[in-house]
Formats: sequence, structure tokens, C-alpha cells
Amino acid sequence: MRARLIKFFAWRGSHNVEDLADETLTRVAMKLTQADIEAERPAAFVIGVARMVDLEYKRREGRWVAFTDGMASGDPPATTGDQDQRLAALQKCLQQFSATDRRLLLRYHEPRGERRAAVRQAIADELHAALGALRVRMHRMRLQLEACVSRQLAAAAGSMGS
Amino acid sequence: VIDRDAHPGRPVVPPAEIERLWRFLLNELSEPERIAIEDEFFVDDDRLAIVESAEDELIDAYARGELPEERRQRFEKRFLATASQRARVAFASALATLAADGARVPEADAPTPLRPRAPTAPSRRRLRPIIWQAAMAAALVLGLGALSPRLLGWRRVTEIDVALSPGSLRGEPEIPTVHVPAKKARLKLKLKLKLVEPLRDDGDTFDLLLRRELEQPKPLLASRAPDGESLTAALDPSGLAPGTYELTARARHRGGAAEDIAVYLFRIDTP
Repeated sequence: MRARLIKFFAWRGSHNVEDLADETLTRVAMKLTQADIEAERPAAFVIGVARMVDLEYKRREGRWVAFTDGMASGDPPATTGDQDQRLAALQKCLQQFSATDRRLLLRYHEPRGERRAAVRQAIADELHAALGALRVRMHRMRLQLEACVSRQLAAAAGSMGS
Repeated sequence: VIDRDAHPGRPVVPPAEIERLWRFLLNELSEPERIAIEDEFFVDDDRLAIVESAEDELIDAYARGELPEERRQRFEKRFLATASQRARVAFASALATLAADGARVPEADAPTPLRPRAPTAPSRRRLRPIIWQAAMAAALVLGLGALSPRLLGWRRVTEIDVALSPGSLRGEPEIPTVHVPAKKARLKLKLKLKLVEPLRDDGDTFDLLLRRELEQPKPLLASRAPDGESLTAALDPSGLAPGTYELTARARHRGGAAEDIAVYLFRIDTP
């Protein structure tokens, strides 16, 4: 539920999404201790609370736009060295997949522009899978890969800092 | 790789649905439309995964410079605000680079660093929708069965001309088929790959990636024909299993950037 709330806030354009998800869960927990809560549709209840938290956050955030924008633009841009490191981490992490999955993942992400849809449909056809199922499968593999790359980069940064 | 049981009855996400989800992610929907999508993904794991995969595709499109200006600005406002969001975009860019260099991904555990490609730039020779070019597919069905056994007995190389045009899609009946006899001696396929647009001689080099199904692509050298209307290459068909092959022609510019210029499909058939 927390992960889902984080997505909810991120897709509403909020930035400190983990705090907002925790705030929502705290409020839900407090409400649940009250006897008059209808729990027939708990998800609807949680998302209702989340929308309220988001609304309050947006009202508060409005006062801090100039500050946060300034912080974002002040971040250093990614350098070629950063991207080289990311590529190396990505190559290493790809090895955790089977050769078949690795080829599938790279082939799925290779084509650009207009060619992409045709190639992805061709892959789905070869696998006798629906395109939607292929997308979801690729997304899940990509999540694993992205998490692995983050760990690799964090470990590299840690070893450089020590 | 894919859960085949999921195919029947599993809703296919059409491009229009992806477009709707991109509008959701870029805050281009009305509040009621937004709420409808939120209500769906909040209670349905499959819907959540579909929205997440649409988000992947949106990030990829940005990382490859494929979003129109207005959407690019909207994306940057919404998806580049935090360090973790910027890391996701950097990841997408790295994945696109590595996927484009797929032929060079090592199979061994030891990773080999790759040089990043030049930043995405508008293509000089954009690939046209290949399905519309299917009509140009030229099949050369080879009468190798008629080859003299005496000739095959000699250890000389038999050259076979194969002309291909871009555009055939897998599953289409007009994909050119190369019939390779079981008792082949030494064969060489002389590939002539017709181009959608003539290539000027501006110092580019060319190569091909030959791939069957999900196998690792095999690189081949190619040359520009003097008239610029086609690329030529030679391929030894021995060791090629029967099946459909995809041949991606790539131009390498002087600066080192590579660009896909056409895709060809053909079948290898053996008795």
C-alpha cells in the first residue's frame, strides 16, 4: 500500500512522496481507531485520504515554489564520467539475467522512433504474448535492473568516499 | 520468457491507451479523468504495472529526444525535479545506449565499459514505417536444388545473389526465402540491400546486425554500392539454422555515432 501511495503522489507531481505516503498511512491508522469508519472499501478510503493530503501539500508547496525550483536548478548536471559509470554498472547488472532475458530486454529497448512499435509487436508475436503482457514483463525486468544499478552506483560512491 | 497463459483474455494495451496514460503522467487530463485512472491502479496490480510501463516508455522517449517541445518541457517540469527522478532518466539513457550497442554486450561476467554515444540528434535518414514499405520487398527464391552435384563436389565457393528490400514484417507471406540445400558445399550469399533513400558518399561506414529470434546478433561488414542505391555484403550461410532472420543496416558517422537506416527480413529454409 505504501508503494502504491508513493506512486500516487509521484504521478500527482509531488516531490517528497515518501513523507506524503507516510502521512497518509498515519492518518488512515488514526481514523481506523475511530468506530465510525466504514471499512467496506478500504482502498477507496485510503485514496480519499491521500487526495486530501495531496491537496494540503499543494497548498503549502505553493509558498515554497521559488525555493524548491532554485534547489533543483542548482544541482550539478550529470557528467560523462557519471554516465560511463552508469553504463558499466548496467552491463554488470545485466549479467544477473539469463542470456535469453538479457537479449529480450536489449532488443525491446533498442529501436527508436517509428520502428519501435513494429519491433515490439514482432517480439510479442514471436513469444505468442499480448503486447500489454510484454510491456509489463519488460517493466518488471527493468525495475530489477534499475534497482541493481542504483545499488552498484551507491556502492561505488561509498567506496570512493571512504 | 512470457507467461503464455496470460495471453488469452489479457487486455492488449493499444497505442491510444498509452497516449492516454502519457497524458495522465504529464498532467494533461481533466481531474475526473485523472481520478478514474488513479482509482483503477490503486486497486488493480495489472493496471498499476501498465501505468508504470507507460511511464518507462515516456522516460525512454524523453531520454532519446523523441518528445515534441511542449511535452519535453512538461516532462522536465514533472520528472526532473528530484535527484531520484533524474537518475531514472539517466538510467533510461544508459539502457538505450547499451541496447543500441546490443551486439557488443559481453556474455561473460566481466563487464566491458562502452563509450557512450553522441547525444540524440534528429535523424538524417529516418526509418519510414516499415509496414508501408512491405510492397517493395523483393524475394529471390533460389533454385539451389538445380545446382550440379559436380559443382557442389568441388571445393569452390558458389555465390548466390540475394536482393532484399526493407520493410517486410515477421509473419508476412512475402518475406524472401533463401533455400539452402542440405548437402551444401561452400556457399556465399551476396546480399544486395536496397535502400529507401540513396546514400551520399559522405565518409560513413556501414555494418549489419544479423539476428535470429532472440539470439545474440552477429555483426557483418557492409559497403555502399557505387550508385548509393543499396548496400552490399557477403554472408556465409553455413551454420545458419532455419528460421526468420532480421538484418539491421547501420551507418556509422565520422564522429562515431551510429544510426539504424533500414531493417530487412528473410528466411533461411533447409530441406
